[in-house]
Amino acid sequence: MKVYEPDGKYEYFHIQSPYIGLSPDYHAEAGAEKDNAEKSYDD
Amino acid sequence: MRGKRRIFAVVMLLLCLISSSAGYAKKSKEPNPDYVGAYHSEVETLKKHIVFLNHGAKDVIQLKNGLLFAFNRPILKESTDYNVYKKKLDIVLIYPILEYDYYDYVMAIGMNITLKNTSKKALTIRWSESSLSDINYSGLPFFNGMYYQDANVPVATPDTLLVPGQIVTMNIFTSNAIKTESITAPIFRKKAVSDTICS
Repeated sequence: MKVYEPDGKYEYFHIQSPYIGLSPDYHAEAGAEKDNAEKSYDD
Repeated sequence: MRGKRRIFAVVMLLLCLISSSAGYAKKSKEPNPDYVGAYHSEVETLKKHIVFLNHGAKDVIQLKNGLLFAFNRPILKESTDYNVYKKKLDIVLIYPILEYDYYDYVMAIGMNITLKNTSKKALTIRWSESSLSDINYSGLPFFNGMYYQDANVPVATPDTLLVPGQIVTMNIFTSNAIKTESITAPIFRKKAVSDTICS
């Protein structure tokens, strides 16, 4: 990424994004849903 | 003579079987339109959980010139079109619903970012002289409001000017996207090489 200052000076910056993936919340919610499903099945 | 005919018949039968099975394999990757609607809401729910994960890279980066760069969320595109899957880049997830012979492809096509100028000088990001890269892809960023025909065209790629203290939240997309890799998974799986790089 090239960023200029008002006097015409510029610098290049290398920026790396974080990984993209499923949030831990999803796995937690999926696990809770599975537990609830198993519980209701047992009931 | 009769033996030759039998051999010919067996060979033709085998050829027919091979061609029909190959056709089935190809067909099995095509989405079944009957189930697209049924799984749309499920995939929408899933997409809300696809986020930037902090695996070594920081969500917020402070550059030494005072520019703050924050990764908010990936911008995703969902497609059930196998042709899109073949052509586009950055498959994040392939959601196979095997029992219905149906696939859903979720792709990262860009990201939502926030920029803040914490310096006392105006800063200009010249995107036309920057690049957005993945492992096998590198090109100019693409922004809302641009013509598709201007993707990857430097003179048509706008700058972002930030006066001191200014905060800007914007979407930044890849241009001329091509598929770089694919992952098939029996369940949702994190993209193996998902880091996008601005340089």
